[in-house]
Amino acid sequence: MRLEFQEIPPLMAIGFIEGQDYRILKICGDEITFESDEQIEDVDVLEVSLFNLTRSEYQAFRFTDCELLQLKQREFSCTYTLKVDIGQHEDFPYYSGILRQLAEFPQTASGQVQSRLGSLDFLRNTQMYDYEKDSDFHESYELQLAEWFGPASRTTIESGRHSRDDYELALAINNTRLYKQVAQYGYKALMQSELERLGLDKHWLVSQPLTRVYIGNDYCPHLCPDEEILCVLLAEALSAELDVTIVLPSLTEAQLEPVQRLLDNLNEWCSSAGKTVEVTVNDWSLFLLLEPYRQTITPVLGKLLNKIKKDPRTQLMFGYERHKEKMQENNVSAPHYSAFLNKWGITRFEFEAHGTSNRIPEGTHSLHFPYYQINTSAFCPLYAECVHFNIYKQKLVEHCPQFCGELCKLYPKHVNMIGRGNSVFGFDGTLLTEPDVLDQYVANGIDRLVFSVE
Amino acid sequence: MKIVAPLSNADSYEALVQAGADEFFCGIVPYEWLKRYSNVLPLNRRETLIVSYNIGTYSSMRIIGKMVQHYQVPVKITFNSHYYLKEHYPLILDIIERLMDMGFTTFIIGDPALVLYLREKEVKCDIHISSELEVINNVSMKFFNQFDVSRFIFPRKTTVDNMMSCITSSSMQGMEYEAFIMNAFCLYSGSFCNSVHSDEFVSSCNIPSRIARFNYSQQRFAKVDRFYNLKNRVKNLPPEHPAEHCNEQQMIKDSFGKDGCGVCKVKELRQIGITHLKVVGRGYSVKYLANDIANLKQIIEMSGHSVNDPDFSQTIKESFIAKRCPDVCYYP
Repeated sequence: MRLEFQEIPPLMAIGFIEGQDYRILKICGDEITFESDEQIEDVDVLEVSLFNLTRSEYQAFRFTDCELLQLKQREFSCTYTLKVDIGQHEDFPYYSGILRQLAEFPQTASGQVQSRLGSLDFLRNTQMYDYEKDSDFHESYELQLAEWFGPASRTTIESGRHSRDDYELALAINNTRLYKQVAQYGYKALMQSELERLGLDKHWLVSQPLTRVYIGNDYCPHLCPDEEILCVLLAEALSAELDVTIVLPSLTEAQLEPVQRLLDNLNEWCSSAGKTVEVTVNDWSLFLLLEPYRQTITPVLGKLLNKIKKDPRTQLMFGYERHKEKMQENNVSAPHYSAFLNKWGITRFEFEAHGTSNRIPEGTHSLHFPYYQINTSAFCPLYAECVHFNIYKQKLVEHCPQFCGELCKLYPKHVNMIGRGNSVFGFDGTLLTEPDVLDQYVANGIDRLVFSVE
Repeated sequence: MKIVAPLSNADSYEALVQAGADEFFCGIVPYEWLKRYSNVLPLNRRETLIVSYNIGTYSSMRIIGKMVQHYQVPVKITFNSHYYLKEHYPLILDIIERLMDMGFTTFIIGDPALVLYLREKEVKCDIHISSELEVINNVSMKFFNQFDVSRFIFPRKTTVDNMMSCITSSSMQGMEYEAFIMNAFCLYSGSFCNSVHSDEFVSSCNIPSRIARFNYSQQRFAKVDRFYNLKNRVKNLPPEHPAEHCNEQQMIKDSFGKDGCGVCKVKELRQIGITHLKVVGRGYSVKYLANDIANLKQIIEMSGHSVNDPDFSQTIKESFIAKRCPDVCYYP
């Protein structure tokens, strides 16, 4: 095993003498060994903070009248072993025993440490991720969709009525199939047919006017429209009186030139059509590249740069209840950073509904639903699986046959995830079924909902 | 060309220096952070408490500081979480100032807001742009150079050609460039991975998955379909058992490169201007790391002597990985 487990995990037991922290090396009955960078004059009082994993907090144990059993001096450090009076804290042996158990556990159990934790006695009554459910898959993509959109399909215009309507509805057009459909039928007809496909033909979304389209893909350059199809999509948007947000992914060196050309073309199109467009910033270069086009192109902070932990299992983290409010926030709420973004013309941030609420900072922002990105790879895992039948054999894909147009990856039912192309997404259908949640977001500064059909 | 090695605790420092480490990176999560946020709001990207990825005390950092003074092999400290909360920035500033007082002056940062904050507060530290920021083109480099950074760490899955183009097009005098070379290959890109990495469950990339087809799609990839239909039907495969090894030494030797490898490209990386090679592996056993670093040191030396050797890659494969290139190749 390449991973090494120390006798006491260093973040789970920390010693203190007169406010200085010390690494605990060993706890053996009533003997505690710790390491110091220099000699300590008085080791009479030792405080030990042990991490209680299930409560996600430290418990402090203060020992007085400690007896020095051994002092080892080394070239760069000293090691002290003290005898403490355990009678001062009757529960200390229990908690220190747990730490030892945790440290020994990886050597005694095979497989990933995390997947075996539930077998430890002290975690028996804790709600943990259920690995047994990892083998329960839907038989097909369509059955997975039916489960996800089933509740929403029973939500009608009436039952889904929400009190706030001061937001715009946008549709994300983010892959080749959808580009072709738009070119053939137009945006509104596409929206209608996709809602029907998902069983949402009576849903409140049907009655909501579509005012904007997002064209392009945040995650994969091969899924962005080429110049020719983009012209068609823009023309179609213009004729349908829809506003446009162009979506760009992260950019390699080879993509800089085409993107520069795209921005020039967009600028021209805007000038001739008398329109402005938005461009999502998912790459740091766009801060500079978009500077000359401020009159016609508005930058918005893309999903890849507006980062937050997004994981369907978040609520199973031991400290979730204690920290859940803080888990809703990220760096765009920091005033110094939002001021910096504003200075670069970025005032709109793209958020995703992801099972845990987002704290929306001041201003007006967008919320994408019902899919949220969890993971993306610069080298496509699906390509590796289709070409080499080995997900690890990844490489930069230069000529993409678009396996993702036909194939996806299903995940166990209980995690609500799906793999599409080079990314993995979670599904959060709350906005489709709970009008209160939508109202709350709108009240907090979301003035645009962006719906993705896949 | 220097080797940047992972440091999980003071105990490993000397062994890894002797193996050939030229520089270290480590993470510290002090008690004042852990007490408030535990690992739920992590200070760096190694987010577990049980596995010993991080250093937990300032006294340990002072021990390491003494070692740095003695051996002159510096330690850079990583604060590479993708983002922090507004209440975090002053707290991190305190931590960084304490570390600077101990002589640690370089920080690897993955949150643009922290880079900005440190510069706004006029903190006189060196900043390395973490691979977690996914800076993969020369314009992004110019953007970050407004913050007076001293090194760019190219993310995993950046091709050699792309790095070369970044370095030549950005033409930044005195800039250092670091590339991944060994271990901890990820299925996805660090910067785009928003999954939780905790003690409580495996990373999301380890959740099982199955290939499936959309019913509305064409059937262009029938071969792929047949393969995965068969694979999906074969359930309950017996677990793979690691090959039995005669001794630990052999096991260490055989593990070289298996967890992520790009050593056959060392010469090319040197030629394009990469100044530092990153061996990943905080939390790894020091024996394995020492073997990785010692081998890499030899390979770097060979790359310096083999300017005209067109078969350098092949020579390295034959000498160090017995021609069995691992699946997890950093530079395919």
